[in-house]
Amino acid sequence: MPRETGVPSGTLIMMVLQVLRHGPLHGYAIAQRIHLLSKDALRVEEGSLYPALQKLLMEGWVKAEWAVSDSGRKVREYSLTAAGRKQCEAEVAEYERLSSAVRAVLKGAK
Amino acid sequence: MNWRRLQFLWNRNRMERDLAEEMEAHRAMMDTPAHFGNVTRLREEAADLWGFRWLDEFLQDARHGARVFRRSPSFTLTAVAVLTLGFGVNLALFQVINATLIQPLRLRDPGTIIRLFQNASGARSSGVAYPVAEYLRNNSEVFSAMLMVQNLALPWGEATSDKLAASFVSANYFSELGAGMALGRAIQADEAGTAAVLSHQFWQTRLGGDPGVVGSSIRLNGRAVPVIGVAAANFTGPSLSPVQVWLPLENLDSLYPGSRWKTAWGDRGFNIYARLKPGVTETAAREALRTPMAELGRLYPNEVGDEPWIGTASGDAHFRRDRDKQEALMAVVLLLGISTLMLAIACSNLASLTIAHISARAGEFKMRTALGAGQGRVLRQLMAESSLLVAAGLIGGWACGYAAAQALLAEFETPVTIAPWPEWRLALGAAALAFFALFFVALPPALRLRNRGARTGMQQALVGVQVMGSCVLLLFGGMMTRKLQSVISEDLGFQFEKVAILEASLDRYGLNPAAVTAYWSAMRDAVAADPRMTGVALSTTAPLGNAINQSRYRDAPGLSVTVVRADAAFFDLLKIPLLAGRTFQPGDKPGTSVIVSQRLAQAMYGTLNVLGQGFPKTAEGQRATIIGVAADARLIQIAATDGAECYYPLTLSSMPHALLMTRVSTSQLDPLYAAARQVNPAITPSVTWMRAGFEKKLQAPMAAGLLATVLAALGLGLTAIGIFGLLAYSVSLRTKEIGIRMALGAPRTGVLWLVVKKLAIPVGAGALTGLLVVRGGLSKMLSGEPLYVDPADPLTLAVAMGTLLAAAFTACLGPVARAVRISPSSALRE
Repeated sequence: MPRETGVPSGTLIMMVLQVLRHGPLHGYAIAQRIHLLSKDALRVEEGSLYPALQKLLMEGWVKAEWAVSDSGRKVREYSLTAAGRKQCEAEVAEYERLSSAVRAVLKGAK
Repeated sequence: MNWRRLQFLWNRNRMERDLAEEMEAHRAMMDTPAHFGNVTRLREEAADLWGFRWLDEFLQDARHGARVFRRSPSFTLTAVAVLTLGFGVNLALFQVINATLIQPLRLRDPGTIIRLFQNASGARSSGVAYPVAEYLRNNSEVFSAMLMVQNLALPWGEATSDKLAASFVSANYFSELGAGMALGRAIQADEAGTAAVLSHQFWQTRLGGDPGVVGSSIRLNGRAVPVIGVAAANFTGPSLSPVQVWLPLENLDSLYPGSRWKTAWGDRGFNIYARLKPGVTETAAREALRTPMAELGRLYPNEVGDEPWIGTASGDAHFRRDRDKQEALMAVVLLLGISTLMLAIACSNLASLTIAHISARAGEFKMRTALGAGQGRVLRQLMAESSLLVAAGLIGGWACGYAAAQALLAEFETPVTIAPWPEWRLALGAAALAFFALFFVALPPALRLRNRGARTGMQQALVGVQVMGSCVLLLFGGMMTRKLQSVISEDLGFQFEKVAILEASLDRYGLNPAAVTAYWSAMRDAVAADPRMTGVALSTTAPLGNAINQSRYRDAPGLSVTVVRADAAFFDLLKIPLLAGRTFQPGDKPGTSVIVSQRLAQAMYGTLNVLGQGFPKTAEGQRATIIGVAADARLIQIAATDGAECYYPLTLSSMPHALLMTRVSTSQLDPLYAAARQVNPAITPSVTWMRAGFEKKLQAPMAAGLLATVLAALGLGLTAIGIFGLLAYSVSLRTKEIGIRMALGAPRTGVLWLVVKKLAIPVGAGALTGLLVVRGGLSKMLSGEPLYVDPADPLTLAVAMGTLLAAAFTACLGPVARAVRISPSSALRE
């Protein structure tokens, strides 16, 4: 089993936005999805997930609605707004620009 | 993002519930719910992102503050009273300034109405001659409507002495200004016969608000005039001077039979307002009127004067010309300056009260700090507590200010109504005041808490501010009072008691020059024949009136010279002594004979020996010859210190708008009215006491003086309390030290000095700053028009400083007595 770590700082918002692109999810599912997509490498702490979700709500990037899950449980589902979609693209582009820059530095220094 | 935050705040309870349920669901879905952690803590951390923490803290602090204040009612009451005073003064003045100077006039679209002023080279007037206005209406393309207004005082009822402020208006007046009616209807274009619309105030106060007034009639100038309506309460007309009754312009004919106002080219007595066509600016309209005015100058050179032109003023500026605007601005700056000073005194007083109150709660603050509260947190707590006091003071101040403003407006009979709820400009002003007060009251105690130890520097500074404020108020009040006193007690240079002025406005009746001369000589005879009247004189200028004809001469720089045309008896009637030469004689020609006043002679020639000299000293062309020197007389501007006079004989062309003056021995003006009726019943003159003009001129400076004195007394009272508080506090802090000194044999004078020393610096520095403020800035504003106070008057300075020191001394007595009576043994036992 790969070692579990927390989410790198500053990327949580981007990842939440990114996983919401494919449809509305509730809080637990967001954490699960990130965990799965990272091949169990990343674990989203509840202590940082919920403040992040509140920030997204305040910024108007996501909206929340109560729904009933497949297992019949009442859950609060988050979905991207148009502004959120734009923000997601911007953040992903920025992150890729940054990480390719970092990679270039690492490669050059070898 | 801010509106969303507000939305969140609004739905806060639901949001918290959602968050809690959501987290609970999340926990339940987990394989090991125990890993979720502390739900409450997580929820609070998430909720922090909403940014309401400050609000929670504020409410917490306010609740705590309310409990503290409940426990110390005397502190709370004093604090609220001090703030009520500070806010009340400010809000009252705000209300009055806003209602009379700033708030737009309650007219339909005032920005597109302008007032016209008929001017010519060397002659500016505040009105327009009716035929000139009519000519402009027919010969210019810039106006969509022209309103013609003639304001007159009309005798009301049976007695001739009771007068109404009447306004004769063109038929489009009410509709064009958008006036509402409380009862009945407005004046209409096809008004047949006489008709009166009453002002709401007149109807309420003088007619008892009689609901059946429409259809009844009132007696004006000896005739019954049917009342057709009552204007709405909020309708003021284009100017804020009170009007009691409006009448159709055409009624001038029936109320003044024989008057020829429609062709009186020389009578600039009409107030003319015009509605600009859409897209036409005030400047464009002024320029467009140059051509027709030039044409009129060619057609009627004698009546309209040289180079005639029209000046304008916009309804947005309350129809004030530039000079009037400056005066209004000065009044506003002065009033706001004074009231801000008052608030500063109140706030620094309260700040030092709060410091004393906090030192009694030292334990509580130590506890808070020990539990980890930072400086910012303590400041926020003090702010929350102060905001309670400020809110209470603001409510009290609003109520008091509203009452005071209403009383002030009623005193000046201003027809504006003010609402008890805040108008937006006022609300803005009140909010600014509240923030000013909040920082002023909360910041010093917070700084004081930071500096531990038994120091009094902060309170000393606060006392300094109070002394400074009181000093300025005292000096201002003193200067105003002194000026008033000198105006009232000093000789104006002429005797106006019992003198009546009769204004016949003959130019309105279109009499020919011979008829005018005949009228005046018949009037002279009729007055001379009545034993109740002594002396009779004619002049073109009413002493103590509002009309000014002033000139400035290159040869007498700095002097404003009032130019009067008068007959020979003028000097004798008003008891203006002739110091040299003679008065006018029948042979004197208007252009060639002149009598100058003493100051003018001194300023222009440096001597009183000026008989036979040419006047003005160096002028091109024809000069007048000085035939006499009269003593100085402040005829119009009673407070002016830069005035002088020169007198010319009456000309034939000035006779139609001459005034007759006589000394009447009865208490009423009936003999003069009777004489006028006997001479020509068709001509209805207006008769007033000269003294009424004097009283009117004193009204505004009296009010300013009274305001300044009352504020100075209040400010001084607060300052005395502040000084008392500072010393009492400092004595209580140093009881032990004083006890030890006494035990070691220090003399009582030494102890005395120890205590009073605390006061010397703030009082000295405060008084000095106050003095500098007055000498530096304020005196420049006050020494000229219209107040003419003397900023360097030694008596005023001495009295103001003496009062300040006396108040400080009185405030010292208690704490000092306590200090010197401290017994060493009991002090050391503490």
